[in-house]
Amino acid sequence: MAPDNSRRGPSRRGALAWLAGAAAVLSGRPALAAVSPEARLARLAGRSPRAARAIGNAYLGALTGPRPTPAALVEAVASRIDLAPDAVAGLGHDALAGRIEAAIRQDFERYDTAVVDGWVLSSTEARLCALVALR
Amino acid sequence: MGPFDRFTDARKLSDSTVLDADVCIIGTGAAGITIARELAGGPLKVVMLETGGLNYDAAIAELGEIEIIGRDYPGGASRLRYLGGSTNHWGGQCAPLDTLDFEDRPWLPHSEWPITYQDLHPYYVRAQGVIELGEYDYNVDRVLAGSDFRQMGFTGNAVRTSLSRYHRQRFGLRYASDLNAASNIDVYLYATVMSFHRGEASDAASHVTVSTLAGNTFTVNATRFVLATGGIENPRLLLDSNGEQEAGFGNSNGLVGRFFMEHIGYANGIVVPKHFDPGYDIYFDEQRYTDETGEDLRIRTHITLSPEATKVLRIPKFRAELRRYSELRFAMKHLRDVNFDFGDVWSVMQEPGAIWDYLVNGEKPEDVGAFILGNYCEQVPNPDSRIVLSSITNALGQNIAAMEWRLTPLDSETIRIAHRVIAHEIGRSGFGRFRYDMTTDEDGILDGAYGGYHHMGTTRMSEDPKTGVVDANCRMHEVPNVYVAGSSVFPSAGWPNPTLTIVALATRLADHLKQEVDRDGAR
Repeated sequence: MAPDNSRRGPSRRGALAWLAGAAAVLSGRPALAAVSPEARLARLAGRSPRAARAIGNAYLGALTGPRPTPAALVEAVASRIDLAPDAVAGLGHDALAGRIEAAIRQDFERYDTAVVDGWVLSSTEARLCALVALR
Repeated sequence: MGPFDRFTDARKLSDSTVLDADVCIIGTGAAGITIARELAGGPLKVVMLETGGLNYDAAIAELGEIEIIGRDYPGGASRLRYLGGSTNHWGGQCAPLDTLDFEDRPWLPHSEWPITYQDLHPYYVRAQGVIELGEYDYNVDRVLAGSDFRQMGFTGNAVRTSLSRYHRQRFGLRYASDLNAASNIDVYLYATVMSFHRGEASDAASHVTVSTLAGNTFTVNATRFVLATGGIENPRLLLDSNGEQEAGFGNSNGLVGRFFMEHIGYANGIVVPKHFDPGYDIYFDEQRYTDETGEDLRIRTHITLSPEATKVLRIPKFRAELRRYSELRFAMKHLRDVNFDFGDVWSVMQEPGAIWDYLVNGEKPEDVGAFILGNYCEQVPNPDSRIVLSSITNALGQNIAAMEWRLTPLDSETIRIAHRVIAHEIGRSGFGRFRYDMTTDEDGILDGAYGGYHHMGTTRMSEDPKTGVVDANCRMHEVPNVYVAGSSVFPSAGWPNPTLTIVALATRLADHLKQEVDRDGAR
């Protein structure tokens, strides 16, 4: 059963858009351009940065070989959603979130997954968590 | 007439007693009582022999003790030796085998049945009535339609929701009056069959010798015998009937007792759903259910792998019963160092913005739930998994059964493959995330596995006498007038608990006996 999405107040996405617009007016620059691709993607790692960081640290700790840089993680995620890394920051929140959600499902379909502390996570979501951990 | 006043206490029979019957049914469990009821009121004189009485008796129970000589088997034999047999404490779970279970599954040697699902279907419908399970409908979409229960949203073809119905039919209590009222049926209590015997001039069984703990012994001559004492005692009695043939009765091919199978129980694997719906309660406990029959029913759903998936993956059947998180610790035998908990996994699956939702919209955070999988895998038919005679004897001097339960590498592999598929399907369908809780030690994967007290396969059904003990009509290949009833005739087990199939086969056997008598006469 889908959760009840009806809300009494403004949606959080609407609010984010309003805040971005306000920031743009106040700063005189497009708000989205101020946010790095790492930050844009890291915000998509669920609702709790603490949880994402814990999972990201476990993921990074379990990797063999050199620890990936944030740029490498961004590149890997961007490539999964058919974007150049620079294009990530230019995409709206809903569009980006939609692409990430589709990529996560596709990861599971392709068995492109990471086992982190026993949990079977999509490679994309594990990388998003790793981005949070590296920030 | 009281419910049991025609039943006879065999301890009071004299040593010289000889009973004559057209059909002698050994055992009064689900199979034995089903067959007797089918024959009630007919022309055949039926003698039923029950090793126990009307209630539990510790001295009688001790007769059925077993020795464990293979892998550990928690809980012992778990059989009950009194009127109604083990239905006196069964959980009542019922579902039919599916079409694939009966077919040749080349990746699962020895699994093919000599009958099809279609052969058994009409008897499943009748068995449904015997157990009083309501309508014969196991289609989960239809049964749950209009209810508050929800199926977990697996969208692919590999993982599905399957349904069991429950009714703890106590066959002894429920049907004793039917047996008592049938003038052609005589029930003897406290009568333990010691051995089958052959006639001098034929392969057929002529009589069984019977003893009681009071010390008396008597004889039952019969034209036909039905052995219906369960998946451990059926082979034990045949093996112990070795006075005339050293290998046991009807066992020149050495197959009696082999292929002992269980449903391999193993609690392992955790699921965190993205959204926890109260409608999922149907997976955790039996839920009251009513249909047009008005019977007192319960239903419950499980996670299973589809027949198509098991075909592609080349594994046995698999089902998982779900247990609530409160039982989680029980499952986590191989707990690793934990860097984060399932709440963190849940958080990562959610959209950002919880604080906004709470502050502006007043939305309470969702309940975070998790559940564990109580896996029940079909065991790979294995000739080295077997019931043999122990050197230990019971109070009647019988060699008790020794259980040598053996699993194969494919049994371990099945649970790993199943969990891998479930983990990825749960993620792919957006339902949630899965945690493997399996040890990384290959040899230790099924350590602690238990059975479901489903003793199957030990007098398996086959077309060819060289590959089984009974034929498609449950008649022993080597003994033309001895039939075997119960799950010991299953060549393979599927995922469902066995009782519905036991009763369906018993109903079919009763029909066969009636047709045979119509054709050949009672004697």
